[in-house]
Amino acid sequence: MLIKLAWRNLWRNPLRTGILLATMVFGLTGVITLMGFLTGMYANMIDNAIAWQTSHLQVQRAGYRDNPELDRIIVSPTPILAALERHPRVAAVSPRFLTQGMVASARSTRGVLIRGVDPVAEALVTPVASHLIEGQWLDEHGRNPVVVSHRTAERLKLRLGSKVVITFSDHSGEVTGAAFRVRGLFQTPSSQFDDSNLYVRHGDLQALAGLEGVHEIAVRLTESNFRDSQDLDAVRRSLEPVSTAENRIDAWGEIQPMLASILSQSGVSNGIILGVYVTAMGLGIINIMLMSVFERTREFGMLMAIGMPKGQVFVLILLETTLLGCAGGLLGVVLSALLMKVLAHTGINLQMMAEGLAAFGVDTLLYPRVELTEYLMVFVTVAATAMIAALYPARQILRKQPVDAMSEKH
Amino acid sequence: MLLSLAWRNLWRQKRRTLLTASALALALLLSLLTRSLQEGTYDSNIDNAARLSTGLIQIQHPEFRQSHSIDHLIPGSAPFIAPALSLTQVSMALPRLEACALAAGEHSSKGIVVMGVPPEQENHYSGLAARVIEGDYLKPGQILVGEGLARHLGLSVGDEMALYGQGYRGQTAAGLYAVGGIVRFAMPGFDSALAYLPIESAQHLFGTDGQISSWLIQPTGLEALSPVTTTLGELYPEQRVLDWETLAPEMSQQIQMDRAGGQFMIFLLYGVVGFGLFATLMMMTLERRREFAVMMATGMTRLKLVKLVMTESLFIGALGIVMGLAVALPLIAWFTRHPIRLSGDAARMMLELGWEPVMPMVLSVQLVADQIAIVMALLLICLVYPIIRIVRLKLVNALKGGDDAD
Repeated sequence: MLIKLAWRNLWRNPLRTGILLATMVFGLTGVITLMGFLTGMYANMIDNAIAWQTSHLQVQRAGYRDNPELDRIIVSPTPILAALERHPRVAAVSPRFLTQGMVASARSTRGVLIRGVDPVAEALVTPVASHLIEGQWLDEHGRNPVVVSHRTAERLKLRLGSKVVITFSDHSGEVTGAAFRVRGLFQTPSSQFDDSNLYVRHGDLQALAGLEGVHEIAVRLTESNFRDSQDLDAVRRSLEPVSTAENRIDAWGEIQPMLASILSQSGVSNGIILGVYVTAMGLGIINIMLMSVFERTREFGMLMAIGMPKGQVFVLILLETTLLGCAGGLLGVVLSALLMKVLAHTGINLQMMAEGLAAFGVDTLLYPRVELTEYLMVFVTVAATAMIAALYPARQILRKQPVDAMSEKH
Repeated sequence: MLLSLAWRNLWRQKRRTLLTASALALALLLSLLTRSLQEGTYDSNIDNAARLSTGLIQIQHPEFRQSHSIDHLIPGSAPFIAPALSLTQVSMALPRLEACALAAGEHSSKGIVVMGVPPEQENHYSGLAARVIEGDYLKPGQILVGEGLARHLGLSVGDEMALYGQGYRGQTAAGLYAVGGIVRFAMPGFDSALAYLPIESAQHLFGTDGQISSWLIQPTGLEALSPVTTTLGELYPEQRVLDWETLAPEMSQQIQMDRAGGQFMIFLLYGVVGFGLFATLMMMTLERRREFAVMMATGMTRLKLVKLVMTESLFIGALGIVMGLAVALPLIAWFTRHPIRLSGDAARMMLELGWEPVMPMVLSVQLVADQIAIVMALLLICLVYPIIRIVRLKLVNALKGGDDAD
C-alpha cells in the first residue's frame, strides 16, 4: 500500500521527478562510460602484454631475469616441453634462445634483445607472424634471416632484403656477430617492445653463440581470461614434478608485476570516480527532496492527523526517494548498457593519440568493458544514496506536531 | 532595493540556499583540485623528464632525430652555440653526445646508449650527481652506469666495462672503462641500458673530433618555449631545432589524453550538479508563483521580477564560489608547497609509466578563472527555463494559486 502511495506521489510532480531521473541517468551513463573506458584500456594493455611479451607462463633458469647471462640456460628442458605438449590446457609452447646485443646498419645502430626462436612454435604462441606489415615471417629457407620492427627499420633505414649486422658477446665473453638479411617487418601495440626486440632463428643464433639449449619457454594457454588464475596454477603444478629446482616457472603477473597491480589499481580509481559523482548526486537529491517534503508539510500533517503513525510517514518519504533511486538507477544502467553495446561494436578510435598509447602498449581502437558486477555496484550505490539522502528531509517532518504541520503555510 | 530584497529572499529558505551553494562549491572544489593537480603534474613531469632525457629544445643534425646515428653530428664548439646563448630568453645550452655501443661485462653484454656529457654542466642542469647511489659522480676515464645495466652485466663499482661499437664515419669504437659510479633513475627501464661518460672521453671513443649529437637549450620558462624555438630555427637554418613535444610525442600525447580524461570527468560532474541546480531553481520559481503574482499585481514589472530572480541566483552562485574557493585555495596553496608523494602500488605504476610518483599542484589564476566562469555559465543555462516561466506567468491564474501557464 505504502509503495503504491509513494509511487503515485512521485508522479504528482512529473517535472521534479523527471529532473531527478535525468540527473541520475546522466550521471550514471557518464560514470559507467568512463569506468568502461578505463577498464577497457587497462584490459587491452594487459591482453597485449600477455599476447606479445610475457605469454601466460614462462619457464626460465632461476635468476635469469635479473642477470641474463648467456650460459644460464634451462636445465633439462626436454621433459618440460614434453609435459607441456601433453597438457590439455596448453595451446602452444615456444622455446627461445635469447641474448642482448646490437643491430647495426650502414646508417645507425641500436641495442636490442635478440630473440632466437623456432619459427613455427613462436608463431603459435605470439601473434607476431600475423602482424607483419611487410615481408614474411621466418622459415627454414635462406641464410640468416631476421625480422625487425618497423620502428627499428626506420631508424636504421632498412628495407626488405637489407643487410644488418648483429653483434653480441658469446659465452666466452668474446664479441661475435654476423650479417643477417631482413625478411620481414613487424609492429606490435607497444612501441617500447618494438624498439628493443628482433627475431632470428634459434639455430642461427646458437651457432653464433657456440651454445646449445634454451633460455626461456613461453607458454600460451587455451583459456585466455587473464583474471582467472586457476588454469595457470594447474599447468604450473603439473610442471613441477618434471622440472628441477634450478628452473623457475612464472606466470605473467610475476614476470610483469606492474600488470597485476594495474588491475587492482583500476578498481580503486573506479571507486573514487563513483564516490565523487555519488556525493554530487546525493547533495542534489537531498535538496530536491527537502523542497518536496516542505512543500507538502500540510499534507503530511494531515496524514498524521488522520492516524498515520509517524514511522509510516517516515517510511513513505524514504520509499519515495528509494523508488526514485531504483528507477533512476535502472534506467541509467539500461541506457549505459545499450551505449556500451554500441561502443563495443564500433570501438572508440584514438588514432590521434597513437604514439602516446603505443608507449603504454595499448591499441588505438579501444573497446570499453563493463563487468556485470560493476553495473550492479553502480546501481546499488545510486539506490542507497537516494535512500540516505532522504533521511535528513524525512527527519525534519517527524519533528513537527501534526497541528503545526497542518497550519504551515508557504 | 532589488539587491536587499533578493538577499532577504535567499535567507527565507536558509537550508535550500546553503545546500544549493554547497553543491556548487563541491563541484568547484573538485574540479579545481583535479585541474590544479593535473596541470601541476604535467609541468613537473615535462620539466623532470625533459631535463633527464630530451631537454626542452634541441639543436640537432637534420637527420639525427630519425637515425640517432653517430654520423649525424653538429659542431660542439663555443662559437657555434654563441648566437643561441646571446638570446635573452635562453638560460643555458648543454652539449650531449649520444651513441649506441655494445657494453660487455665479464659474462654478458648488452646494446646500450652511451651519453657523453660535460659533468659539471650536466649536474647543474639535470641533477645527475644526486642520483648516484654508489661510487662517485663522473670522473675522467671512468664510466657512470645505470643501476639496471650494472645488475644485468653483474658489475659493481671498480669493475671494468668494455664498450664496443661503431664510431664516426665507420671507425671502430672500442674502449675499456672503470665503473666509477652507479646511478638510479626513478623510472625503471630508463637506467637499464644507459651509461654516462665525460663528453671528452665519449668524443675520443667515437672519434667525433669535437662534434656532438645535440645542443640542449633551456629557455627561461615554459612560456618562452615557442618563441625561442622559432628564433633558433632562424639562427641555425642548416640544423634542425626541435621542441620537447616533437622529441617526445609519447609524453605530449599522454598529457593530452590525461587532460581530456580529467576534463570529461569534470564535465560530467558539472552536468550532475547542473541538473540539481536546475531542479532547485525551477522549484524555487514554481513554488513562488503566487508570491510573484502578488508582486506583479501591486505594480512590479515582469522585467524587474526577472532581475530579482537572476540576482537571487547570482547570489547563490557567488556564495557557492566563495565557499568553494575558501576551501580549495588554501588546500591548493598547501599542496603546491607540500606535494603529495604516492607510495605502494600506485607509485610503482606511475614509475613504470615513466612518471615520477609525486603529485605537485599548480595554483594558476587562469584555472581558477576558468572554473568560476564555468560555474557562472552553468547557472545562467539553468536560469533560462525558470525565467521563461516567469515571463509567461498568467497573473490571474497564479493569484488564485492555480496553474500559471499553458
